[in-house]
Amino acid sequence: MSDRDDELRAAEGVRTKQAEATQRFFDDACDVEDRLAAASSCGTFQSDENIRRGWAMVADAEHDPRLRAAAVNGLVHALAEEPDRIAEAIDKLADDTEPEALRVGLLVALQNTFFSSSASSSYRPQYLNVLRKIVEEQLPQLRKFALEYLALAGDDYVQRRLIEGLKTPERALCEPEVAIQLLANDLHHDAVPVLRDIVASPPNAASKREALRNLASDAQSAPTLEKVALDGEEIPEVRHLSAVGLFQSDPSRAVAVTRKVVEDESADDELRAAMLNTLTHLTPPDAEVDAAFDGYVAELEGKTSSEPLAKMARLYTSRRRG
Amino acid sequence: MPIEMEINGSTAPRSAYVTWASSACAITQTENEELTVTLRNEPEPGGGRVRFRASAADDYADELTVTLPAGGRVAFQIAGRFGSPSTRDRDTAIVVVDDAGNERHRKPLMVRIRKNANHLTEDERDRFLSAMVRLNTVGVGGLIPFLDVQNMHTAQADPEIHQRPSFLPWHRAYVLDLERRLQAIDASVTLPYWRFDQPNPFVFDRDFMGVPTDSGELDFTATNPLINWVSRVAGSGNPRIRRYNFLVIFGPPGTDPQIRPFDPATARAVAVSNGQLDTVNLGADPVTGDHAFDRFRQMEGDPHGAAHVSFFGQISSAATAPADPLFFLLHCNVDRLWARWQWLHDGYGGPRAYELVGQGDRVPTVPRLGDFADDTMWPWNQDRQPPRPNTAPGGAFPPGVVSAPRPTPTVGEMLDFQGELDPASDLGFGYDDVEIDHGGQP
Repeated sequence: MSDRDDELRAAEGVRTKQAEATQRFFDDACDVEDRLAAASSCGTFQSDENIRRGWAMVADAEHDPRLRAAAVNGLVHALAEEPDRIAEAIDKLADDTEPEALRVGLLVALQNTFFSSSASSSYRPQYLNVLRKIVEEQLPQLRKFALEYLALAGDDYVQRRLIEGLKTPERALCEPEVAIQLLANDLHHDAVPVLRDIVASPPNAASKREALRNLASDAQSAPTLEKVALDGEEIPEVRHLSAVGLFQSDPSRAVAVTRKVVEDESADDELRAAMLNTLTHLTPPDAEVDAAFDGYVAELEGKTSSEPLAKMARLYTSRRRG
Repeated sequence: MPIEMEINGSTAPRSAYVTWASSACAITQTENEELTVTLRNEPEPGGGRVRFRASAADDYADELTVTLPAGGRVAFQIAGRFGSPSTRDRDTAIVVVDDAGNERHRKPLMVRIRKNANHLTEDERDRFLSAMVRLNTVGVGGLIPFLDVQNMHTAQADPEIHQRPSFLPWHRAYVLDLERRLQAIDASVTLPYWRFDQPNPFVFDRDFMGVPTDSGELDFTATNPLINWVSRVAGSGNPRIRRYNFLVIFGPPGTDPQIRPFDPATARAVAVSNGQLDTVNLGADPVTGDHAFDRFRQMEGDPHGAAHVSFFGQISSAATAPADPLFFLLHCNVDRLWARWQWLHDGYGGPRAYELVGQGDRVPTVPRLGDFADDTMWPWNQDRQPPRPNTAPGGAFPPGVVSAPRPTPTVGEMLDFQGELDPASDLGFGYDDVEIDHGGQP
């Protein structure tokens, strides 16, 4: 028996188990928890009959919402192939009388569909409109999905709402650090002054971190990034990300700053290792060679008791030697 | 040098990389008398292994004896031994031994195979990550080579590369393009794959693909090259990769669902319904059981799309996904699943392997530009006229150690990737769990 025959036999076994699980999932006589457990082994529904039963379950408000959500998951391929079903799914997603469990299931399936269905593109404006509506609903879990997907699409409305939330916390749709991460998908000029204000007066440490990270291409913020990278009182992670950011706006200054931190033996060894990692990977090809610094790093591997620092010293030296 | 050995048509070390497919080799001697030698494989401990045969008509064996005419050359073939890939550059060698047992020549090489990311050595992982970051760094002349890779997979490119039969062939070319760019930086690197239907504790770790913080951006160790990763999505700020692994927990009816992080180190990607064998089975007609590509390609929805949307973050949208390096591991696995389906169902050529035979390129009556087997693919064909996108410059496909694909590859050139039907079709990559059928191979 060849490996191929074994694999074909195993595939056939999976097909049989999938059919059994699907039968159990659709069996109204079975306990809901059993049917939900079976859902994870159904795969996507393939036969016309199972697809029909799946849609019937989604449409039937008498069914447990969790079963309806699980049915949506099995209908991902069918959804992609039937434009009318996409419109129907968007309508159900918009319907605030439907249970949140079903709407979350629909949202994940639709996002998948907009990744992979040619039928879906004409429905995209309608989909984004429903997501905007959801952003303003008082359903925090559903809102999380809508915010993520709208921000990835660079949606103007959600950009405005996120900036509004950063300026006026009582209007915020999410935590400030998450808002900055979402805005960073498509960072408009009007967000930059807001980020500068957050660095100057951060609502929390995480939002300062994210604001600094995203000021990398803001030439006006380069002195701030340099100052933070060299500030021994600052959190090591924030010092490092500031140095990485500086490589975007002023690479030669960034090289000098980063070397300085590596040579600072009073600094945290993990930070020095991270800075050396950054020098190894981001030093521009035309950067001025500093033989004294390279010599210092070459000796560092044998001197330091920090494993990460020794590892990065070894890599840096090996790269410098070509 | 009295004896020289060519692998993949060259004596240069840069050509000495093989896969499970047959590689054309030759041995040459400059001495003036006939010489009989035996070729053997001597791997370092844990190194890759190769086998030998005189020609395509022979079975592969552990050694090969050849008689070299005076000043002459003898051709032969080698192939990596399935199950024994290399872990390091040049960790194996072909030694040439004469009748008296003297070693006359030694040729280091590597059995370079794509592997499950969860089973890489730490060294393999670090070399891959470092090459990725170097590709995405400002290089000589201010160019960022990765920018082209990002710009091939944009919102504008979406209709060209998704939602159509050429989805799998196009993405095979795309990840091979990336892999060859990485190999130009470090020849020992291959693209690993993420088995999204399995837990991956090694992958979802701070030393590799990172672990999300509470707010969703990734945390890495100080030594992980990805601490230097920069998003190249047009218009984006400078975000750290955002990848929040979400799990929707449905409580009893009447209670609100909750979103919690799931741990891909201990669970499969949550939105994926089709495991590996479920995916292979997608190719089967539900009634007849006959397999065909036009059914198999449903996998673009689940597991492919489902793996993408198992996370919040860049990876969950086609336009931004390349900003997360996990995207390339995901697509390597999508390609591997296709390769496994091809292996199981002889899907390397003909209408069953790809339904759109012929050419549609710029044929006015054929609306499916770029979908037919003989169509050239954007952007390598530099066709930027609508309806094709213009976000990437295109140009010749990056060269590899094998001659395929041509600089302007067609959809059809992506099918016979290990040269099962025609050795000249070998694209120069293989997977650690996808075999090849050639005579004598165990």
